[in-house]
Amino acid sequence: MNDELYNELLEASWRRKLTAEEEAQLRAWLVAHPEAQADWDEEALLTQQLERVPNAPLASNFTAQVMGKLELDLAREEREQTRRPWSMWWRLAPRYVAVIAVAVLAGFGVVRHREHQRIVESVANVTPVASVLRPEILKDFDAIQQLRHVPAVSDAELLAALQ
Amino acid sequence: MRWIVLVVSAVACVAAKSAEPADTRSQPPPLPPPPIEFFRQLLAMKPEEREKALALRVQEPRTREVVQVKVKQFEALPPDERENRLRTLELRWYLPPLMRTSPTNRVVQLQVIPPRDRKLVEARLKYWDELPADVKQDMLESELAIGLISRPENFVVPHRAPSTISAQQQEKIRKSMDYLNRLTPEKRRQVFQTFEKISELSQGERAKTLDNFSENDRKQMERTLRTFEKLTPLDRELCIAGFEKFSELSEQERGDFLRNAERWRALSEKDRAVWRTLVNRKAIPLPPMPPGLSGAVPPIKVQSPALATNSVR
Repeated sequence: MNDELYNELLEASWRRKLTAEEEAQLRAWLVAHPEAQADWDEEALLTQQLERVPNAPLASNFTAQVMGKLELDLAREEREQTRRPWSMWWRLAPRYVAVIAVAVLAGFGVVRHREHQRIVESVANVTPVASVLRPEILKDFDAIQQLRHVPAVSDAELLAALQ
Repeated sequence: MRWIVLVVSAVACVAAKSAEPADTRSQPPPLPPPPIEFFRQLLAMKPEEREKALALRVQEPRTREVVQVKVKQFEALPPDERENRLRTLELRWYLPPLMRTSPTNRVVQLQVIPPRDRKLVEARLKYWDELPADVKQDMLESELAIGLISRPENFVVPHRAPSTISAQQQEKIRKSMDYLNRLTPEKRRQVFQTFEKISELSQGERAKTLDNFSENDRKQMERTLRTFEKLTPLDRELCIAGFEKFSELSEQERGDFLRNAERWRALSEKDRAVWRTLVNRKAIPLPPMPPGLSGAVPPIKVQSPALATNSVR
């Protein structure tokens, strides 16, 4: 029943009588799809029944009433916006939230990237020295630095030998 | 009148007694002359004279060998450095016994020290006497501290021993230091602070960081990071502070520091502990010597070998 041609012909039959060409197309289609024949007959019967129902009477100022109603709605909306300016913002909030979220994520990404670069820089420049100057040396930097005042060579054994 | 004469005589006697020099009978015996004098004489001798003098003075072959080796070493030194080392030995001979003696009992001992050295010794003892008792005790237990207090002023400690750090490691250190020294102090501090916090990284973050390096570097870095991770926060902070100070040294000073670090490793734990305490208590470095007491004096004139032989004890 999903055939496009069938649906077009069905919709056309609701609005008007089918043309001869359309009738021919319908017949050919129903020959090819006999399982749709019952559906078509039912639809045709329903269309006939509806055509017999008289149209409801419309007021002479029906169009004016519709337009008046629309104007009232627009005026109310305008008043509400003047009274509560944030209401417009409120309606736009999801968009703002989305934009802010994207900006925050991008900023976070940049910060993370910079942090990563900093770590790489630190590891690259500190570890070569830290691998030679082991913690036990670095911890005692001041004590070791003061060794520069003590003669590197001790002649104590000479003194002992001469005594 | 007679009474007045007697009283005046008694007062005069007391005054005369108090004007006499301090009683030297309670003083310790004078210091023997430093044996370095004999070594100075050996250095001035010709080889054959030296052998004879040495055989007469030193009986023990092993001891004689030590002296012979030292003679050769000293002969090879530039004159200034040789003289500095000889003076260090002389001060090392004089100072420890005096450091162990109370100030009031040093009078006789100081008198036998040649005037040239006496002023230097007195200046060192003045510093020594002002130290707290526990610091003195620490210093007497430390060979390093005695070596330090015995050195003449302006002594430049030469480092001749080649560093055990490979050329490749030295190059890496130089590159890192060049890079760090180009940074502003704030930025440099930031680099160190970041390193301090690396242990807080997750395994994934750390792996991502190390992915930026070659396989060899990565392994080395991983080892180093693991070592730092095991430290307490306080130790880590101390290490970073040491690192910062190291980065502020000149290339020459860095080289000296690395050699001193090798000396540090060779010390016993006890020696390190004592030295650390002395440095933390600001007992080291020693204060500067008063003007005019520089150790950089011209070498003393060595006595002639003939005279020297007679003067040797």
